[in-house]
Amino acid sequence: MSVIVEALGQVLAPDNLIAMVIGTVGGLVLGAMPGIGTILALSLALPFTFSMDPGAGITLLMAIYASSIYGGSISAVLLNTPGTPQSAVTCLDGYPMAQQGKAAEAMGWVTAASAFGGLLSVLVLVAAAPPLAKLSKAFGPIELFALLGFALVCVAWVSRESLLKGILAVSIGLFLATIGPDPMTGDIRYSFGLFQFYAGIQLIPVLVGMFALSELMIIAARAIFGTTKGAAIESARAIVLPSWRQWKPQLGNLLRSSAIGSFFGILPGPGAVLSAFVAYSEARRASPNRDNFGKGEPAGLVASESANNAVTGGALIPTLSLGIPGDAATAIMLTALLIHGITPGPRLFELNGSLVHAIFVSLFIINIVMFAAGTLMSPLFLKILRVPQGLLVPAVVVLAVTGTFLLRHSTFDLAIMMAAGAAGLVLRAAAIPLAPVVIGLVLGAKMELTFRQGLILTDGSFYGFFAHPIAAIFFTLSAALVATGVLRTVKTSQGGRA
Amino acid sequence: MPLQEPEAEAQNGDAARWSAFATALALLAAAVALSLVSFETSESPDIAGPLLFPHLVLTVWMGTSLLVAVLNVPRSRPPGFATAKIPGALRLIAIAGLSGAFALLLPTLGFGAGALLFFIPVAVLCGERRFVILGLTSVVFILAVWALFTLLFGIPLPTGEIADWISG
Repeated sequence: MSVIVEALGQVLAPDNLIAMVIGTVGGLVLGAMPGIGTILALSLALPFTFSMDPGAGITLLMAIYASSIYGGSISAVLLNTPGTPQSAVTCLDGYPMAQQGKAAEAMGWVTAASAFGGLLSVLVLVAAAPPLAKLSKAFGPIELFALLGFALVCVAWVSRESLLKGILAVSIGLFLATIGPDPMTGDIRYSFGLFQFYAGIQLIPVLVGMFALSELMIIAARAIFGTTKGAAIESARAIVLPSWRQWKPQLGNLLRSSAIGSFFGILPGPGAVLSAFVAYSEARRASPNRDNFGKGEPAGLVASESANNAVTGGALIPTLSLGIPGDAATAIMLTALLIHGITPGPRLFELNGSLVHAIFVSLFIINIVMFAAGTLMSPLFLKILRVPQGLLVPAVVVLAVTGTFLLRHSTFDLAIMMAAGAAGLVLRAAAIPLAPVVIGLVLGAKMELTFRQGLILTDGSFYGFFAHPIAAIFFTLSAALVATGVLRTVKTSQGGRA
Repeated sequence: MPLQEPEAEAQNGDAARWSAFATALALLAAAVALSLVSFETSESPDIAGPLLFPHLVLTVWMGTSLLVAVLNVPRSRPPGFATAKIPGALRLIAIAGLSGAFALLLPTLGFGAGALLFFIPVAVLCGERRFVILGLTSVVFILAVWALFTLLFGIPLPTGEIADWISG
């Protein structure tokens, strides 16, 4: 009980509340702007959390995470252009409703379903994270190495159509993590004579460069070449929330879709995009109005929005309890915890119990603030959607560069950021996914350490790893995923040649 | 997802194959070069030494980049670059160059002057021609960011070596 009181004290601290409100409103605005999205918004905010109190910094990022997913649906409904990939399914029924003059009603369904999905996922997080953390105490270095390997294979598997490109991206991230001191001996590796590499590669410049700068160059290219999709903004003066009578037939759909979202959030890799698609197709299958799906059916909106927002709590379960981020968004939040000296994993619940509870409570309140902000401030967001990209690009670059510089007042960090931005552009052009690079970089040190510790335990024999049943299960699952993915890639490639 | 997944648009056609092929070859060359790099270690590079994990990772990197290159061998000559796109491409290069210059000069110019000198030309390069709106927006934006971080969060933004030198 005292832990909860302490957590409430942290959550209700003025700097935490300010971070919550700024994060929620900022996330809504950034999520609503096509081209910005959750990852770019989080990458921009991450450097600034470095100089904040850990609780306030994490709250800011969680608020941006949750509200930017909801914000993405504003432009999905009104512009037929999802602000975030997670909101792509929302276009299917949201935009037809807006075209029928029901934009306010569509936004009402979206707002309520998003908040409900988010709130339910917090309950799942509270229920599942502590037991999982306890369970993970049974994991030694070998089991942890196998689990990390499985998580990375999952991330690579679902990132794009090509598993090979996903694994290539993961290996780039893992290699970048080996630059700097060796985790066992402290020997400096791959420094190329630059003392700035002695402490390893800083995560934030890589994150900001790879996600934010490369995305901004693409937005700039679209502004210059005039390829931005234009659509008239449907005017909606205010949100019209659905009545209880309208809600009643949707309750089953709402609960099922929120559960799907929470489940997909826990799995490393799939994330909100897939959960929204699965929830939508399940809702369509179960609905008596299935023929109306895609023509402005509120059940479609309820399914996609509750599922994509329910991912937020689910995704934090492995991040907090195992220290394994399932996607780029949670990798950024894991980075924020690490830069504040907080190591997620089983010990987090013992050493920083009040912080963990503060995270739970904050996420709950964030969803309520998001609901209130979405309901009250919708006319403002509609105006913000009209910000020309010519003004958006320099503004976001200024924030990205300044935020990265503020970390250590280092021009070397800025050089790393620019290099990561250029690398991000090259990888995007080759359709090599960026999220596995970053997750590989975040998990690389832990993976190497557990691997080397495992080799010591088995007297240098990798075969000895298979003598551990839990590890053997994860290795088998990883091998099965790799085999399936390679077959799929080869088939796709042969299909392309035919 | 027209803006979030821009690479998806480029996935059709030979341009995407050329991109994947060339990038995979470049990555393969980088991995080979990195695997040849040696460094001093405090212990002999035995089975569990500091070189083991990076070399394992580089082996996976080389193998997958080779496979990606093989699976994306182009079936036609490299697509030409439309000359009509050259002015736009030059503007993009200028934006990238200005971003680099802003990053390099931020410690010298400080946040206010640096951001103002960067904001306006980049907005113009992106096609913004309403100069009054542009001027007002840039000043309001810079002041808002300064107020948010300096006054609200207590995070001082860089003032710049020039301002520091002038103020003594």
